[in-house]
Amino acid sequence: MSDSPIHSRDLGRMTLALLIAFALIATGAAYWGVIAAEGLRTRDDNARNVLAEQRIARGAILDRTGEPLALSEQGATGVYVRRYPHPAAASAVGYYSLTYGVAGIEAAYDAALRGDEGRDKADILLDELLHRSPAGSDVRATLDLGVQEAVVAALEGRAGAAVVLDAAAGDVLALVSLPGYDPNTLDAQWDALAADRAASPLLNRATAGLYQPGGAFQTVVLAALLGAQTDLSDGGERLLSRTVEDGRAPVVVGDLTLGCTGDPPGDVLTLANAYAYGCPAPFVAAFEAGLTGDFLWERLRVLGLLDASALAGFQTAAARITQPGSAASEAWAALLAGQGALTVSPLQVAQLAAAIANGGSAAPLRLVDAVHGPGVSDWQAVAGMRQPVAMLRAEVARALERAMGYAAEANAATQQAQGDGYTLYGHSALAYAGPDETPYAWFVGFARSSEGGHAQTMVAVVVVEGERDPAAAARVAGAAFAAAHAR
Amino acid sequence: MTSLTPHRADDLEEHAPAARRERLLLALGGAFILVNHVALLLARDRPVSHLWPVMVWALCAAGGHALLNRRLPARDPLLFPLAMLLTGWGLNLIARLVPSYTVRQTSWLVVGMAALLALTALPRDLRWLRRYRYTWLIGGLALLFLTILIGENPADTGPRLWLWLGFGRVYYQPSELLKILLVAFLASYFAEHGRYMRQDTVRLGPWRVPSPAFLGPVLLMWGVCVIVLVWQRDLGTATLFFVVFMAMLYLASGQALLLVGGAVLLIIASAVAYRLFDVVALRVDIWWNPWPTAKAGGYQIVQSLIAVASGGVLGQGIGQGQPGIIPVVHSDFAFAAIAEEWGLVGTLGVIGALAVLVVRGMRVAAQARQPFHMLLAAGLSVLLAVQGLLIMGGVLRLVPLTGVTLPFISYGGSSLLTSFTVVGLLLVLSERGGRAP
Repeated sequence: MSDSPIHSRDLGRMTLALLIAFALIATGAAYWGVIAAEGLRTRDDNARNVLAEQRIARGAILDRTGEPLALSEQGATGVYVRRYPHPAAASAVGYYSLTYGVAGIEAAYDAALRGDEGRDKADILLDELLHRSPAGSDVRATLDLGVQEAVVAALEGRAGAAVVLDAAAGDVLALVSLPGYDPNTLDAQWDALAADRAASPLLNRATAGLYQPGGAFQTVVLAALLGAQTDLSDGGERLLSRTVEDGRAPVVVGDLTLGCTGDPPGDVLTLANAYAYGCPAPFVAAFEAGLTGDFLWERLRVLGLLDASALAGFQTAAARITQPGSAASEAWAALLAGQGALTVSPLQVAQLAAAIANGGSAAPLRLVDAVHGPGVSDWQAVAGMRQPVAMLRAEVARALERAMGYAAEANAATQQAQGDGYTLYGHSALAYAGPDETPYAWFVGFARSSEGGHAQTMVAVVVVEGERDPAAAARVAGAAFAAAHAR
Repeated sequence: MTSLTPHRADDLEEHAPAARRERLLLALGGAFILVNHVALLLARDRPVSHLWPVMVWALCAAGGHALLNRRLPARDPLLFPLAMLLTGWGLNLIARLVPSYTVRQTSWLVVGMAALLALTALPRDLRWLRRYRYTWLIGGLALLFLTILIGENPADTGPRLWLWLGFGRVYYQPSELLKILLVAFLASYFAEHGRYMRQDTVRLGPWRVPSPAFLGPVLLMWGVCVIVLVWQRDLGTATLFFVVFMAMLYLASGQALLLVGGAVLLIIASAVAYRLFDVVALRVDIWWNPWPTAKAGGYQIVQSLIAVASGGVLGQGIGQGQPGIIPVVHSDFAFAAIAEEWGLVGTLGVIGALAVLVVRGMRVAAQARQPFHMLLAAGLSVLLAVQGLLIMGGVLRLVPLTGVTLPFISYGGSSLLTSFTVVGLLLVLSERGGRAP
């Protein structure tokens, strides 16, 4: 070995260097495979997440009669595709997109639908180990497809929003926002939908759209005026029949001149007449009738108009405003006319209407009432707060009901919501928004029926955008009541 | 067959424990490959008949073992089982990733096996390789030159590094052959001039380096190889040649300074290549920070890392992951696919198997009695090691990605043939080294 050109020491060093390099590779593999793995696995561009998602037998969403609103169908490659047989229900059902996430009921009950709920840890671990895709639970919505489709049809493609409730249970029977989208083709049309700022088809107007209430605010002011009365043993008769001088006189708020929405009989009106025909003067002058700013503001809070309504999984909204100072008479006048800083969502107003119909307390709103797990024989009721929330004194609610009942008989526009088989209570109004004073038609009301001894009250709140005729909103509500009554 | 000495009975008996150990290791490797292949068939709902590659593998292992027992009874008992384990693992992986390539890769296994066994039949002093070093190397270079003229790419895009063999869709990559010929050339040259290299040195500042008179011819030959490779944009192989050359020069001269100089040269060469070649600049930029271009240029490496991350410790199981998301996963990113489906346990297995193979190769070098054999064994071991390190490091973003294959495992016939030839040479050398004098 002495004449060898190679020293074994050099061979040893070279071997050691190579082994160190191999150890570095092993360290690199451990780093990416274990230490930095979580951040890499959850990256958006990890197609594995999408592929895994496509293998989940996502549960179906059914309407209250069992009609499927959303279901997953397995294709030839074992990949599931989400299908929505009734795109008209999209504003309630929402969407499920591998690219754009989830919305609506799809978002609210995502964990149940994809099967993450109701499995213990051991099952989840075993499924992951064996690469078994979990099966999700079916979800039953309170939505009534018949009512939903009737409302969509009645809106005739116009922009607007509507909420229909079963007043006693707080069940949402219809939740409509137009223009909307077809969840079946959402991925392909997303860019166009998101870019359309004028129509905002992705905005859920019913839950998160904030509208100028305009004349619809008269119900709130009337509730405050009634609430300020200590003695309502006469059912509010004294207050409602009080005559108002110049009751039909137009009111100027900023650039707007507001008048009645109907044609009241005579110049001297009772408060009930002014409310029925939507004449703003007595309401804008409410402070002269003894109402104070602090009292009104407290009423707004109790009626849920200062906070977003709660509807599981839905993005809801409320106007962010502060109480005007006592000297800001113009701000108060605008507020009382419904043309001030306070804007409201149809859902907030629907909850108020439900409280009126319910004798002053409103059941918490819900859009899903039961879940059906795979391999479980029965539907399980969805847990949640079911305790009604008191919003109005019972006497105030009764007096408001009387006023709305009278308005439904008196106002020709409101009568458009009338139909066979139920008694109508309602109020029609107009609101104006934006610098170009776009008109909005409102209907707020409910219908009582007692066929076969089964009493039922349906609440409907409708907003039709760009509409000067309050009857347009009432007609949509009428379609909703007729559909709800027919079921 | 003239050099084959007839074995005496006690000779075979003497080596029986080593043969038993090799048989046991082959059986264990075979069990691993069979279990994985069965799991693949179950995961993919394929018929039992798809087990045939495992049968071919088993025949190769059994036949090879039997023939090696007769021809090289004193061989290293780990080299052959490790090579077969990695090759079988590669077959599993190709049957999983690109089933349509299974026939071709299995055929190349048979060809590689035949080459390995043919080497054991040649004169064991390997004079045929040492004496005609210029002929061999120039022949290899000529083949490489041919790729410039009539080279093709089986995928129809990318560098034309292959020669069509005249039938079917069978191609050969001459740079693979050149790897072995270059190592043999360097081993032969350094072995002949080694002593002078150590004695006849010139001063370079405070250091002594081998005289240019000895380094000149070898630098010239090596330089031509590298220039042709760079011309062909086969920069991975060029880098491999550079590192192997530096390692062998160090072993021949014993001058650690040469390694430092080589490293400096490599950095300078990289900097120049970064400026001159867009492909180099792109690769280096992507390596340095792939995240902003994760949807474009950095897609492959980012997806590779995500695949490694998806594997975790135990892996998803064969056929259960999604390594197919990585473009050309079966050649450049075979290691990432192993990481995804066999997890960290699998990658450590591959790293460990390669490392043991390399250590055994270096051991063959240490036990060799002729300088040529020492340098050849060491050079071939370093070749395997560096090639594995380059591609595994590339897949894990430790070094810029170079398009070299993972020895034994990646798809590619020329590469598999080269790896088997290397193991065949190491086996022959181990027989000589392991024999009592």
